[in-house]
Amino acid sequence: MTSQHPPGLALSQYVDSELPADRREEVSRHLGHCGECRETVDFYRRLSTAAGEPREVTVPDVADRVLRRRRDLRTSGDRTLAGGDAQNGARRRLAMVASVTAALLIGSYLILAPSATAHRSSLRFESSLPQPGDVVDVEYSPSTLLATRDSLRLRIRARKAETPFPRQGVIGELRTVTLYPNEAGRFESQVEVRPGDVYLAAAVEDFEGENVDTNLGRLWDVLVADSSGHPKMAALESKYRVLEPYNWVAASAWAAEAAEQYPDNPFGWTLLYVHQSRAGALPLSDSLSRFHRAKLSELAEDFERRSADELEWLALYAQLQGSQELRELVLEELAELDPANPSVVRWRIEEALRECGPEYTCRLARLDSVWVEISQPDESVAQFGLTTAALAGDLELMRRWTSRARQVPRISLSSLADKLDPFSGMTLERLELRRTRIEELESLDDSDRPLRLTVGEFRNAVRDTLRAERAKLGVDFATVGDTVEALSAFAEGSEYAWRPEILKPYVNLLLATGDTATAAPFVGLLLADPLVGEEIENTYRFLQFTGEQLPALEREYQRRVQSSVVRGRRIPADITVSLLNGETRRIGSLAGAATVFFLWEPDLPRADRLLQDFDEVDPGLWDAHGIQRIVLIHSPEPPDVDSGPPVVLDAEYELSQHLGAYRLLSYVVVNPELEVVAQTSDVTTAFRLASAISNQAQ
Amino acid sequence: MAGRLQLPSERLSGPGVLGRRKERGSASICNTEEGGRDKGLVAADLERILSGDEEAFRRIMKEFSPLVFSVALGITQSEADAEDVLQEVFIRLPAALTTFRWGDFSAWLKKVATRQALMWMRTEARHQRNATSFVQGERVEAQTLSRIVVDRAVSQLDPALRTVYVLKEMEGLTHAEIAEAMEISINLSQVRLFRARAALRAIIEPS
Repeated sequence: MTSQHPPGLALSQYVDSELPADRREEVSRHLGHCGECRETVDFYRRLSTAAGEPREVTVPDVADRVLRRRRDLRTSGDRTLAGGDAQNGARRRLAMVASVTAALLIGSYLILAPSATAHRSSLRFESSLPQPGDVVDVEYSPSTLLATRDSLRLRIRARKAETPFPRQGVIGELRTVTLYPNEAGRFESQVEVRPGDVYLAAAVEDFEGENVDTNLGRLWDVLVADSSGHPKMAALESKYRVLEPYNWVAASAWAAEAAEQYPDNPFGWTLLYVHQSRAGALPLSDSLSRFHRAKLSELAEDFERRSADELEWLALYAQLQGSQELRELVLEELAELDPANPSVVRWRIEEALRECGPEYTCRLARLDSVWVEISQPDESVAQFGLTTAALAGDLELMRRWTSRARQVPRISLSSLADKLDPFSGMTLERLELRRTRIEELESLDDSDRPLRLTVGEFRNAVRDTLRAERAKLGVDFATVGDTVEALSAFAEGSEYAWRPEILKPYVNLLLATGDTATAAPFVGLLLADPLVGEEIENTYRFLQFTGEQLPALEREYQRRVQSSVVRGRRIPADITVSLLNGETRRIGSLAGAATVFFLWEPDLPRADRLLQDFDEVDPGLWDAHGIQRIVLIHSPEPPDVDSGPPVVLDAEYELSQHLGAYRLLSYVVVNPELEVVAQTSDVTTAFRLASAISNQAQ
Repeated sequence: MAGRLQLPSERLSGPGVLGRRKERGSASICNTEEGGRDKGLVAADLERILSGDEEAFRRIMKEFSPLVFSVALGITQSEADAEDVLQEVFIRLPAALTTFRWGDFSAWLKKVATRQALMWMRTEARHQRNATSFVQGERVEAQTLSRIVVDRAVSQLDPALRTVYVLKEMEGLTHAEIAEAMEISINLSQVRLFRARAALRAIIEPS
């Protein structure tokens, strides 16, 4: 290291005394004989000195303005509350003082955070199954944060009948209604159910939009009934889709409830299966498997009488349980009722792939007839056609598929919006967050880690190779296959800390050619990264095209792990951490078995749900696979964990830094050699990866 | 669950940081720890603010305006914007206090000011107003690297780099605190500081 210059970052850290002792020595020695680096270090020091000098500035006095603004905010509103204002204000202030005093009595230091026994808010719709045209009274019992306001805003997302599952459609029409205080100390208003509404979900916020009450992510909702008094299928689906991204536990509960309340409808049972098997990750017990098989037979008995919606769910139920024949029967029936149904379209594409194999002309011919058959622009078909034509290198066909793709209605914005929290309004922040994450991944190159290739070099190599292949006219599968081989060898041969943004284009190419076998292990790796989570749905769809099952994916992953494609940074064994019971533990003691760390932070929107997941996945199962679990926290407030994995306090972020954890509420998987293997925000994925590593180690 | 953790002693803004400041003989405008009131009095005033006590609020604003203004000015590079941010921070202070956990109020307030300033930049889409013309190519003699020169150069930095630089070198936050305020990783904070220094060098000593 003394023969060449240390990286710039190291010099910067040296100036701040942030290097570990051995590195500091090395840099020091280097500085002894390198004028250039000495000048750099000198400059940084002088810069620091100058930056720390005092600056003459007049600090404005904003006190009057601030107090006036706050008074205005308190008294203004949509209407003057006759007589109630001062009284309500005083009552609320007393309530606040009382709660603060109570808090003081609890501890000898001032805790200004809402305590766990804080009042839980609730929202009540006066009718539980209203019909279009009804006007429904609504009453809100406020949370502590919102109780002091003079009026509140009710934000409603109304789903309409024409938003079918499973497309990522628009998240729903936004309506707002003002809530006014009533004599009972609650807030009330009226909500109109309009024609076409199937499902309403609501949250409450103050008018500055700063404090939102989403009922811990569950929202408050009401299903809309049809004229016979039953909720439509779209209503059931809407409720699930609203819950699922925020609160897995509540979504599970809803699935069970739907199965119980509407037992003839495949919807509830299918979702129940999904949740019980953790989307295919955990094997169902024999009795549960038998139960679902029997239920499937029962529901399928006279499937010809069912509606298109129900058939779609039935087909999925069959597919999940591996009943391909039944699935095809159901899909054929569905195709007659609704030829443009997305499940049908996907199945047709599947068939094309299966029957044609790698021959592009055959595939393109089949896709052509699918397009004509469904007689309306479909995104999946268009995308697939376009990619296949591009790989075939057929310009004429590429032009044709491009113009078809342009006919597809632009739903991309809505599907992007769908993935954002509809009630936070923090769109810009989220987008910026993504940019920061990408910057972070790139920043890893500047740090002092041993890499044979930089991110840029590998990316360029992939791109150049692919470009060379496509430049030849009439690209055939064999050539692409060679490309794939070459890339594969490339990735395996280099001692390379795995980078998702490098693998993605590679995986997409493989999937586009239908080579799911080679793609499978890399898909597994991509699943582990929260950054690419949004693309995983597309990936899964591709996998479903050939009926690939998740267990096969896992097996491939294990094989790849054995050939050491996956590497990560190593955590120093001598870091010591403190458990909440006062014991200390050396990280080195974790070596020899796989570990999953869960980074927990109170008050973030999904904190409770994720901790429950971590806790609830059967502890015996983790033990049976020899996986160690640790909850990592940064603030002194301990989480509420019963059977508990040990909880470790990392107030200085030291351990987190080594885990490379850039995201709170995520799981970090560490292998028996104390190398970080992956990070994910899904407990199921964390479990699968950890068990794959564990089993491979044994 | 086992009983509550024995809390570590309250962390000051770092004797190291204060110590460095004292060495330079600075009377920087962030002097709340040195000449500030007793922490218990501050805590009592914070509690009173929640009950609507305006006098307590005035005291807090008087004492902590320099701290907040300094952070806001460093990030927005405009006195007018910094004043707006200063106002916004205090208008929101009572609501924000409900999320303030036990700890160092000054450090927490700096984080709040940081977030508010960053949000301000974003929503108002402010550009770098402070284009005080810095004569390019004018070499600065080694001895004359002063605060004014640094300020001018800093105003030309990319906002993400500038924020980290200002918070670390002028406001004395640690990388961990910066990471928390900006919602980035500690590693990224260190990398951005390095990039800022390199960029400043290119601006001040182009060669």
